[in-house]
Amino acid sequence: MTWFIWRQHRWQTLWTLLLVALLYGGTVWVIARASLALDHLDARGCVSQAGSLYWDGSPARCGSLVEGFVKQYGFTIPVFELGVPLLMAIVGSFIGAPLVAREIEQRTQLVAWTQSVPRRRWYVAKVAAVGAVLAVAGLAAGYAVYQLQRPLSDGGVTASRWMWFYSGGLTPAGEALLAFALAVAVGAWLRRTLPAVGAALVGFLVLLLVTGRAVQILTPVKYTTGPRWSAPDDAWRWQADGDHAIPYHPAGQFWPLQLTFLAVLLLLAAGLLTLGWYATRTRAV
Amino acid sequence: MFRLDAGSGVPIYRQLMQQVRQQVMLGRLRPGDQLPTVKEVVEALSVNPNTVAKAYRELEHEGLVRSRQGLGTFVAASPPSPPLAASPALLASLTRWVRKARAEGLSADEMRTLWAVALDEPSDPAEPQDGVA
Amino acid sequence: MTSALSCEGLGRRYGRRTWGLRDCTLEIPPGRVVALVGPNGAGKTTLLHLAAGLLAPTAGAVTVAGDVPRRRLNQIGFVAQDAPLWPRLRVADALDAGRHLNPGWDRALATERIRRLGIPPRARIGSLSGGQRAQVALTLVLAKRPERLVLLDEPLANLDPIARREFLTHMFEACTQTGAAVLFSSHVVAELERICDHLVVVRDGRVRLVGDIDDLRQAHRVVTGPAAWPDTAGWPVVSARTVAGRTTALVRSGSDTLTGPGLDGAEPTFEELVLGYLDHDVQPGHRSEVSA
Repeated sequence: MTWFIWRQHRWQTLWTLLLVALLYGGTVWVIARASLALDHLDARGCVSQAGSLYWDGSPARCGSLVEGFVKQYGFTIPVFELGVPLLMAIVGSFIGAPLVAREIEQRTQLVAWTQSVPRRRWYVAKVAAVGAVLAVAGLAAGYAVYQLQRPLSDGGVTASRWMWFYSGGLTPAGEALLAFALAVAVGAWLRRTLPAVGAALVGFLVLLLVTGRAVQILTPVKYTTGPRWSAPDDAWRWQADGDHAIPYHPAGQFWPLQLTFLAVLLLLAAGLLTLGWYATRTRAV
Repeated sequence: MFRLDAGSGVPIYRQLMQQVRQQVMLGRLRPGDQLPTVKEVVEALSVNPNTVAKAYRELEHEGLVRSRQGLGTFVAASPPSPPLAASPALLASLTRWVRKARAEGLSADEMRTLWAVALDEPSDPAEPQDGVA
Repeated sequence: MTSALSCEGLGRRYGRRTWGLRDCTLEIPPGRVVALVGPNGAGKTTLLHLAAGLLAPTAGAVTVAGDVPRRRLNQIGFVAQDAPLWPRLRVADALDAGRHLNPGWDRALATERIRRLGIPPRARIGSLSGGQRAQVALTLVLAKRPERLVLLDEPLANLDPIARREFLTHMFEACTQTGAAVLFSSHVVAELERICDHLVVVRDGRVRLVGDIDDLRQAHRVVTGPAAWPDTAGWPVVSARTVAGRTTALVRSGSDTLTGPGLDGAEPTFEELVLGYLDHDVQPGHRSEVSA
């Protein structure tokens, strides 16, 4: 079975790993360049003892230099914030949708499921093997993105790692698996690959926003207190600071929330894969 | 040694049986001679092995052949159906009949039809060769 | 000895109302070569898919050698209609797939057969002709060495006459060795007679006739008589046609029912038997429903 899965999915696997390698290379390159630029600023005395750029009260000559740094690396936030979840969604959908649907389109499920390997084992083995590759790819992407945070916050582009909540750390692995599971299930139900890719991409977006919001709302928060009513720089604000108490997640909740969010995504994925199995068992012939 | 006539409507196992009987009657198969194995017949005719086995089984039932375990199927030492050599008169009269029919302009198919009608005469359930002459 | 295939009231419904197969009861003894005959859409493929464990029954039960098909997968060989295979795989890869997916794989048989058929092992399956692809699919089944049951959905459709012969000979050889029964569907009646010893006729989702071909022929008569006779006689008429004032009917017979004024009865040929059960154009007033 293992050989057969590898033979059928080797190009998908190689493409996925190539994409993730490119992403990794891109982040390493950005990190290296940003670090160099920081060294340059440090040489001019524009970096404080604490390791971040002076903002207020820094030597006047630093102002334009810092602004220049922010301008140059400001692009990374939207690119990675949106790009990584999108990449995970695309990779997951394009690999997941054909898993059952392509077999049905080619009628090769009639061959695959009449060999000596039972259909359930076929499904479980395939989903597990391909899912493992996606999980590894997602973790690698998440790690790479997370590494970006240090030079960028040192450089004053971002004050907190919450920016990377959907694109760094553990989340990309969960996103890739969710998109994959959704695409497998939709493919098995629709019995067609391309519509399944489309439906999975749209569905993934909805699920991601809903679950992200749910995790944010349903987990414990802190409230800003007077008289300043402002959350710490490294907090995840729910809304803009004002003159009343607003809820926020402090920096210390980053990893617990990442874990919670990953667990939610994985649970969803498991449920979807179960639905996919049901469709594979009942609708695929 | 076997040929099948798909259009005859005669079940294949009976065609095979008839042909063995003919060969024995004509003396082409002698007592002790081995029949082709089932596998050989299957390969030659691409016919179902069960059909061949059934024909051989029925022939054995009639006493015309004997199968020896692991060796094959052989023509019995004393086949029950009378060897044709013993009644050359029948063949001679049949030959005369064919010649006469041909002279009257009958085709081979028409002769076969007459032959089949004669064979189907219900009053005569005996061996086929008795139907003519 | 347990039946190679046994169906008991077997039925499969598609959607809410359409039955692909209904009330199917039949037994196939081991080692038989069974023709599954019927018009397109009659339920042949449904029956084969149920027997292969691809479909779950909606009603009744199907067993292969006494157990449900999905627990006998390694003892069942199946080739679907038009012999689908993964188009992007190379021929050698498809054989490797067979080897990895089947414990009883006969590697020598597979490579030797592909070599003898002159199919390039490096060719992608998608680039093969229909006949060649069918041969690869059939090789997969032969090399799997199914011990109980071989199910073939229109296997001969894409093969030229020589390839048919070659395949049939191999199939017979393989089945003689293993004792597996072969059930294969066809809507071409000619040439089935020499291939099969058992017959299953399906029409409109129901099994019309099952049994040993020689027994079935002996149990039927083709009767020709005056145009009106089937109305007066009490025999179970399978189907009847009137041509030029004479009615020819296929009837199920006991031993002595075939006498009557102006009647002429004979044992049906294989084709007459099959076509009689497939015939839709039964004359008005004649019952055609004779379930087996």
